[in-house]
Amino acid sequence: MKFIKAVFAYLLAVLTTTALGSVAATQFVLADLRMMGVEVPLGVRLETTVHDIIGMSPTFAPIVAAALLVAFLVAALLTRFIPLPERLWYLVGGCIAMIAALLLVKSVLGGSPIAGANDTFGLIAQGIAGLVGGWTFARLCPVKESQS
Amino acid sequence: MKMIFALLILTLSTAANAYEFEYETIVTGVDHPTALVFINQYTALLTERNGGLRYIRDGQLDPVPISGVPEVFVAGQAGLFDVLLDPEFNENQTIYLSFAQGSAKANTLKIARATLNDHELQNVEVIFSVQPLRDTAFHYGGRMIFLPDGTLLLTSGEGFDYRTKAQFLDNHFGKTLRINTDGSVPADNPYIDTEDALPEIYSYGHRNLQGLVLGINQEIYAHEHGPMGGDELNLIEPTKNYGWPAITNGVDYSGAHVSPYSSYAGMEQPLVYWVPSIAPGGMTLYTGQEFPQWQGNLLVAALAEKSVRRVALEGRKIVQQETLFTDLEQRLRDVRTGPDGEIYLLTDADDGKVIRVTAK
Repeated sequence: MKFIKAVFAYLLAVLTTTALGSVAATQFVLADLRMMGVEVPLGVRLETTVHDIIGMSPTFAPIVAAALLVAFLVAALLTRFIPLPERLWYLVGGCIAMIAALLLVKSVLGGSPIAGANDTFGLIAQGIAGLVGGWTFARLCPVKESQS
Repeated sequence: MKMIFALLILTLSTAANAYEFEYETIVTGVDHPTALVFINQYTALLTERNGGLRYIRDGQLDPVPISGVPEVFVAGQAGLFDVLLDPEFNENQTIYLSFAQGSAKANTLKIARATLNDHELQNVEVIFSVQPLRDTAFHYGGRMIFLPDGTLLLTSGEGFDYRTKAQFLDNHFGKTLRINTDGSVPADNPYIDTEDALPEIYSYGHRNLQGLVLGINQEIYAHEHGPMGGDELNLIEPTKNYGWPAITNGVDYSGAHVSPYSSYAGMEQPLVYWVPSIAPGGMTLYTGQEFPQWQGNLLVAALAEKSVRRVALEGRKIVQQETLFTDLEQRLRDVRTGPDGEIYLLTDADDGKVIRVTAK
């Protein structure tokens, strides 16, 4: 039962991070367009954001899934040895894993896989998406009360 | 009306299948050949991506490479891109090479001028370097032509991770650039008096242009790779903004929008765009006698589609398009016209080939 809960929490964390990461990436791309002098009315912004969540998911979700899986396994392990609140490990783990995963894919491909995460702020935004994913997981997963 | 339409279709299809082709592989075992230029009726120069500069004489590869090629950065798409003869080559034996130079962390597109003396390049001098440096090994452009006034036009790609720079004039990324043969800036360049603009810029808003030719009436055609979809053929005019990445008919490799717009005020529309991508790698204006019906057509080499697209234009209008040579099943980096009107295809492979195409 605990395992099923953990799987459910993990999937929801992947979903959350994928959606948030995609939304963030789109806003950075649209900010670039505005910098070029291109107008982006609210309707276009919303339409583009929804388009990108759907469009990016097939390539982005597997990266997120791999990153968060590693992050949560490592967090679960660390929490046994280092006396910090378990929830904190998942938050930090999700954040670091997203940034590390995107940097890893970038170094393998030779270029940024997500244009909206190409610069420092864009990358930090992806880290925050990972952090929220970690928080989602910790909220839903059976965390030991004494450590939460 | 139906009758006229049927006749039109018949005419078009007849014209489209006017020729049968004979293929002859004249060169094998060259590294990703990138460009071919004929010095005279019997001799051509061939560039390899790994920095090789070779002679093809009487339809055979000279086994001795030409020495003195500048050090080339070879990685990803980086390497030696193009070779161009000086308009006065017969008198001065001067050639121009475009290539990537530097390291993975800091490299750029450069043009060198040199004197060709048999199997050696002499007086090698880098006359132009694209600014700024980049830490990617993608999207260099690197095609060169001479304009009728003797100035040199170069295509410069946007470096993949730097696509936004294509819309700004303070850098050379995503531009066509016009320079003199010594690398200096022509006095009549369009942005020479524009504050904060680099004076070499001729047009902007480009992605990765790998085809550049002069048309029958000396107009300038260039094609460029789009992302997923949105490859373009453009008529290049000074100061025009060709839109990348503010407008495009393609989407990003991630599946996200590069831009929600495919048109916008003040930005040029392509003569033709290709969705899905054909990945255009080179281009020639056909003026030969071997295929007389193709006079004045543009031939576009396609990597992903493994073809050559024949594009017939009337003014800005595409009147016919035909997909050729798909039976070769080869990624084609470049297509060039030979002295007798035969067509040369350069295959993009570790074991690259040069294939001569004639009419059967």
